Amino acid sequence: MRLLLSCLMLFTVAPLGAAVSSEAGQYATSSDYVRSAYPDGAPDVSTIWVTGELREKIEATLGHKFAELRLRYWFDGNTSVWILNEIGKELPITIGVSVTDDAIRNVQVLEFRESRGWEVRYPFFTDQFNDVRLDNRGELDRKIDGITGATLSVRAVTRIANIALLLHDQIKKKN
Amino acid sequence: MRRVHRWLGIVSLFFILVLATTGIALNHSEEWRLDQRTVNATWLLHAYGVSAPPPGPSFAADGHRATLLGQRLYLDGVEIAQDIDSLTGIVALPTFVLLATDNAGIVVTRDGQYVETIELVPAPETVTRLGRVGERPILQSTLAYYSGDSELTHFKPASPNARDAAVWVDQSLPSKQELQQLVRLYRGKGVSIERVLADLHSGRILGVSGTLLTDVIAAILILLSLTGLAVWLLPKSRQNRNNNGKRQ
Repeated sequence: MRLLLSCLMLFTVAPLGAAVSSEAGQYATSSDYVRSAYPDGAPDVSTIWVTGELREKIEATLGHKFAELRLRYWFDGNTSVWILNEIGKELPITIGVSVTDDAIRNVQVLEFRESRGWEVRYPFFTDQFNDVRLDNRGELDRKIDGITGATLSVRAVTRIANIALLLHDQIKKKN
Repeated sequence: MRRVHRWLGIVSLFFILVLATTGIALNHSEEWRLDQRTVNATWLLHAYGVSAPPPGPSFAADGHRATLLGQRLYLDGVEIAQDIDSLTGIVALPTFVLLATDNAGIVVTRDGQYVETIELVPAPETVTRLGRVGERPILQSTLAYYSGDSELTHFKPASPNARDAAVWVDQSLPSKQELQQLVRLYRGKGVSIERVLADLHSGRILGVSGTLLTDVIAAILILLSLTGLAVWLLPKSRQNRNNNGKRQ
């Protein structure tokens, strides 16, 4: 009986495990995301240097050093698009964020590299960021519900959403 | 008994010397700063699993050298990125140095500060070589040629003229000194003398067999002390017996 149960477990749980690990991967390219944010044609890419006060704010939000010295973005005067990376547990998650009128219009996980926490890619999670803005303290003005078993990935996506709003605010001042 | 004691002493002599000298050194580890001094012998570092892999591709351009060692990317003797699988070229521009992997470009300032990682070619193309046309970068992918601006913000399909004028950067070997410096960097601080002495003292330096050997030596030392005691006590008791016999 034990042998029978072991065999059953092997044939039912093992394929499930394989299916779970295959959820990580690239779901969309940066170009795809930019195209979807600007259906009428994307503006030219611009760059912003992450120095001084902006760097301090970003690092305070992330809770660790920010590696990049320069970031790329697309901005048509109204909507900005950011492709940013943040580490969930050990590997970076590539996230696309588009911001319109100081509010997030869309968040999409473009690439997930770890074996756990990939559930953050699904709209039931990312849709929570739609219309979220920064409050007076520079934090998201709405609570984002977590996902059991994906706490670190949820935190990473939330931090990136916060940073995208900070960056949008910065380029608006610049323009 | 004396013979057994003598042989046990001879067998354990070498190990007693090792245990005593390493023990004294470990006792004064802090004073002698053995925890801060490191061992550089390659064979010993190799035994500890602290060894550098053979060097991967290496390119030099305008006084800068990029080398891939394992999955670590070094520029001018400084590690600038990890988890890198390939290196296909380097080009030095007025403000930046661009290093190309199969599918990405790593942008670094001329003084070696990391700036950003950019997408150089659309998937599934991969970069095969990198060069420059004047102050602009040019790259060849598996399908096409692309040229960028000197600020590295845009890459567009290269014109035939740009392709003809391109100066490509080929692989070259780093000097022996450069390579030694990279290997030292890769190994990091290595292994402290204190660690090696502690492992010698406990026998762990030889793995499980070393620990077992130390157990055997410890057992021999116990036997040695017992046989020594017996050698010292036995003649006395015999002497006492003899003296008692004479008085009677």
